[in-house]
Amino acid sequence: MPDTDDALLSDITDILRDMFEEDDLVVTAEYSRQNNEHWDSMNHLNIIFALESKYRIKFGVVDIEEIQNVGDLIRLVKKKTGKA
Amino acid sequence: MDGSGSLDLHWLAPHPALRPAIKAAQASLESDAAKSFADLRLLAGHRLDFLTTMQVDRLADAAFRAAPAMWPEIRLAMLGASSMEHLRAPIRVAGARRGLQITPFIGGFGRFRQELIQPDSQLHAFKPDVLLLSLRTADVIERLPLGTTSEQVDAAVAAGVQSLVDLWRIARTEIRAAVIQQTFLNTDYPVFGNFDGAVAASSHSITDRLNRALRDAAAIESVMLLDVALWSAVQGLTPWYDPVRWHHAKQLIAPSAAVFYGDLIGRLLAAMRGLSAKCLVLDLDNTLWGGVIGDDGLNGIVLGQGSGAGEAFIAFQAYAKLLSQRGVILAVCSKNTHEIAEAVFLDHPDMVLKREDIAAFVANWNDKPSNLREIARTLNIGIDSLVFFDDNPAEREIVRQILPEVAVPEVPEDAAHFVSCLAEAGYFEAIAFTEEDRARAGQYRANSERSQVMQSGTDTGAFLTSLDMKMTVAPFTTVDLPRITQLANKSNQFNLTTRRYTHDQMAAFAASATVVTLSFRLVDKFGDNGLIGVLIALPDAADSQVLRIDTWLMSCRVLGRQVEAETINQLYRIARDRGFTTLVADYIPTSKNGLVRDIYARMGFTHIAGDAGSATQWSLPVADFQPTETAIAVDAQFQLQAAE
Repeated sequence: MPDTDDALLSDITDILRDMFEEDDLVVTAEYSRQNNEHWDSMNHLNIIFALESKYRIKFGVVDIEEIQNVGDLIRLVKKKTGKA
Repeated sequence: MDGSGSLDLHWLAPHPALRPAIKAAQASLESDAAKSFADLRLLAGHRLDFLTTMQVDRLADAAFRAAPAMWPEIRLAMLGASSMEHLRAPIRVAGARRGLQITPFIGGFGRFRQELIQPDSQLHAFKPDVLLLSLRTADVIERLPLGTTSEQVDAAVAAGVQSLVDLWRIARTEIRAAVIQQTFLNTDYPVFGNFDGAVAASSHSITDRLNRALRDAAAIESVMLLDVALWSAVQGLTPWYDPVRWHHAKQLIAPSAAVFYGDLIGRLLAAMRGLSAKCLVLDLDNTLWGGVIGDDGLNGIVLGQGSGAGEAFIAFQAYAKLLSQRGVILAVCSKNTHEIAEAVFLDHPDMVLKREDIAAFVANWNDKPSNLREIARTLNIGIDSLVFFDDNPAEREIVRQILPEVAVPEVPEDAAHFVSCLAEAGYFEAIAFTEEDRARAGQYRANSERSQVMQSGTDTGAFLTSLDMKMTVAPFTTVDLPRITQLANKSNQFNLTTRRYTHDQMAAFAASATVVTLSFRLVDKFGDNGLIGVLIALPDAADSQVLRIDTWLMSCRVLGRQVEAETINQLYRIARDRGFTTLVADYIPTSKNGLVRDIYARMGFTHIAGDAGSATQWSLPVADFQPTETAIAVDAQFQLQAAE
């Protein structure tokens, strides 16, 4: 289980690289749907599903609508895994 | 289910390095498309999850664009009132797993009725081969008050199912698409608790009744079912349905079930094309019983009451026996001394499988790929019809490497999970259960007895006479249509043109006044071989005196029994009685039908067009034909039709 924001950011980067097929994609906490046209509502759900599977957590209906950028993903994963 | 709560494809082997393999296949697409497609099929045959499925789907997408005609295409229209976009990749990859190019089309949300009814809709323009209806109870039955009586609920259910039957008929007549109807996922929680099932109008009860009525209607209409209700009852609702996904994105099928769902569609479409496996090849030691018979002896192996493992092996044998009773052929392939292995079947009191359940029993010290080839040859089926079930990972690996066309499931460590492994893998997907399926096990047994007779006597003519063969010839009847369609769609070797027809197309041939349809049954002293031959001939469009053989196929079980000669004899009689002057026939070569390349030459036809290696055309003047003498007594029931 990743303890730090950096480790989480690295996991999320891997997921986004696989999803968008961009091997050298660089992602920050501010990286959001506005930065990538491939981050559509379908892929949004896929990213969430990837994180749910990886960390064995479940996001709720409110969580999914709150998520705007990578920072939101990090914050919610930490909350769900009890690391926040 | 995997550790994250998704339904995974546990019977497929995990891939050690997927990303580089996808990239390599993508890179060779331009230089060697055939290799890329082979790689794609291999990659799709691994244990992919939802995300890796999307990666393989991108390769599939690129491959299908680069070479659209490499694989047979199936155009699949999906209609419903839920979001299905996330199912596209799993479905396409499930097709790739079977060498099929599935082109999905997702209809407008909730517009399934309009799309079906309006001839200028996008659905009609798409020209689907197959139509999938994925609906919820609320799409076909309006909400009933809880106090509604049982009779009123049944009436509403019947009306709802009838509205679907009407849609199926439109799909088949107007769009000429085969129909897959999804059952209704029962997502409703009980309102009364345990009493819920006693209340006819509770949501859960209504969906239950709806599914029951739907299954009956689908059987009558020969519509294929995608039974998500069955699978969710077996596997649990949780991986199938996620209320968060439903409320947020209107996904009826949760992403955690998407890959399995895609595979269910893949196996249905494959079954429709006759690509389901036919034979389960079983290892013995630690597969049918615990321990090694050669070391542990009859009393030392683990089988039967007294231990959990012994009971688990019995349960697996019982499942294999049920497969045999529904027409799956069973074979044994084991590294053992033949007599010692066979003795377990003959002498162990707890064996559920008996020696006569096994159509081909191979126990020796040769390598398993050679033995699997031998089994396929003995049973007269393709290597790609085999499923090889062996607890030994090294044996699985060598078979995968040498015979990639054989399906080799990952066998679980614990025998208690053998049944679910085989059942969820779905290699033997069926879309019908015919009289012939029921009789098949006995037929293969009789076949091995026949070949023993054949080996004991050298005089073929005397052997054939001794078989006491009786053939029944008849035009296609409604009762026979499911078997005729099944046989026509799965026969590959003795099949002159390999044209595949749906049940409805076969029914149309049967109803036509000009088309000659013939089905053949063969009985001999060892038993009933069932319906073993199909022939369709049409008057030539250019010359009405010419009768052209559109389709001719025969079950290889009866090869070498003069059935082919008697078939042409019967066709000749019909052609003569109906005033045709000439029979014309085609041979269209495939990778599997080399067996019948010269059949028309042997039957006295003259070669009129086409080079060796390509499609050839043959002709036979009716006036010149001399019927072949055979050892078969014929009961011809087609005069009725000819006299009309």
